[in-house]
Amino acid sequence: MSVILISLIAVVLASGCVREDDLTGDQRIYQLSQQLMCPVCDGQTLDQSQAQLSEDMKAVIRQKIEDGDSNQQIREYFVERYGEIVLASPDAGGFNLIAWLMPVVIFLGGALLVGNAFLNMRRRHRFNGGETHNSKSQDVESVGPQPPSDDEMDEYLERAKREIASAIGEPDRVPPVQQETQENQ
Amino acid sequence: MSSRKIPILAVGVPLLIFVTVLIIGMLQSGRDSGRPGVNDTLGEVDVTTDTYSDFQITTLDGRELHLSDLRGSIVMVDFWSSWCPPCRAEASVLAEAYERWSEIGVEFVGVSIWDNEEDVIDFINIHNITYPNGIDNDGSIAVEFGVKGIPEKFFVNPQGEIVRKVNGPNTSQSLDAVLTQMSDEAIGIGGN
Repeated sequence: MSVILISLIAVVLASGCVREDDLTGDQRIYQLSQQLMCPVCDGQTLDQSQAQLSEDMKAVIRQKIEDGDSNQQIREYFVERYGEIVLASPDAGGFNLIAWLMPVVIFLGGALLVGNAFLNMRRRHRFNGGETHNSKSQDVESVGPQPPSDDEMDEYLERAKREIASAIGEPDRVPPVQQETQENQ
Repeated sequence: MSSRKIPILAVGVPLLIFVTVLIIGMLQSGRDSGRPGVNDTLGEVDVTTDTYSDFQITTLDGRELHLSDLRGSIVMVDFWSSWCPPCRAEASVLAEAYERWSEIGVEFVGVSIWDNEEDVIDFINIHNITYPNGIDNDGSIAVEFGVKGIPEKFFVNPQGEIVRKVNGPNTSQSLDAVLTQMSDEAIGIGGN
């Protein structure tokens, strides 16, 4: 439970749900510097980059905050000049949705895989423990060959009895071996 | 399809796409990993600023210059640095081209970025550059124009619209081609 709570808090903080008005100018510069990439560096945000252009961009962010621009307006300003690639995380819309949905799909698929494996393990455990089960409800592929049910065994013995009696020419006689088998059932 | 294959596909297909996108991203990020901020090769790219972006700069001779003051002329704005090899390579080309094109009213403006005044003045004197130049000390003009590297040139038509952007060191021929086309468009004998 505590893990879920901590995760939720982390998600809220990471998603920038804190209102802009509650942040100081420096905090907003830092926030935007984490959301914008250095256009001339490989995979570095403005706050990670030491490039002169990154310093210039941070100075422009400061100026625009002082001019009263919102974070969204500042992001759009840089996207217009450097393209979508300047955003550290893409906007959740259009083709970019794939980038947001893919981790969720992979997580859910993984959960499905683990759940399925867990169910199979439980079935196998039941089978090895000798619990009664109906062959029609079992996943034959996952647990291997099943022993016949009582009805199937009775039907098999009856058919065998008739065929043996027919073979020895005494249809009414019950072979001793089958009698023993029946007794053992 | 068996029940075992469904979750394997549910994970495998997205994972495959994810890894593919990751590899493409890594290849692309490595593609431009030369010296940051220097454009070694010549090429025209999309204009990356507002069509009517303006700036004010103090030229090396102390004048205040607004880009909008030059409206009515074709203007080439060059972003450069004295330490940048491609900028040095094309410096004499620009100086010579300005002597020819200024006679018919074309203006050049140099904006030095990521540089210091002493080196800029030396560079101007060494290459006999006569068109106005200034230093963008805080980099705000470069950011306003979406400059990623040097040299980068923006071409402004007489209406004040920024219409073309060329990266990398120009030759006389490449510069003349752009300016000739813009001049033809300005007097209505060419263009789109």
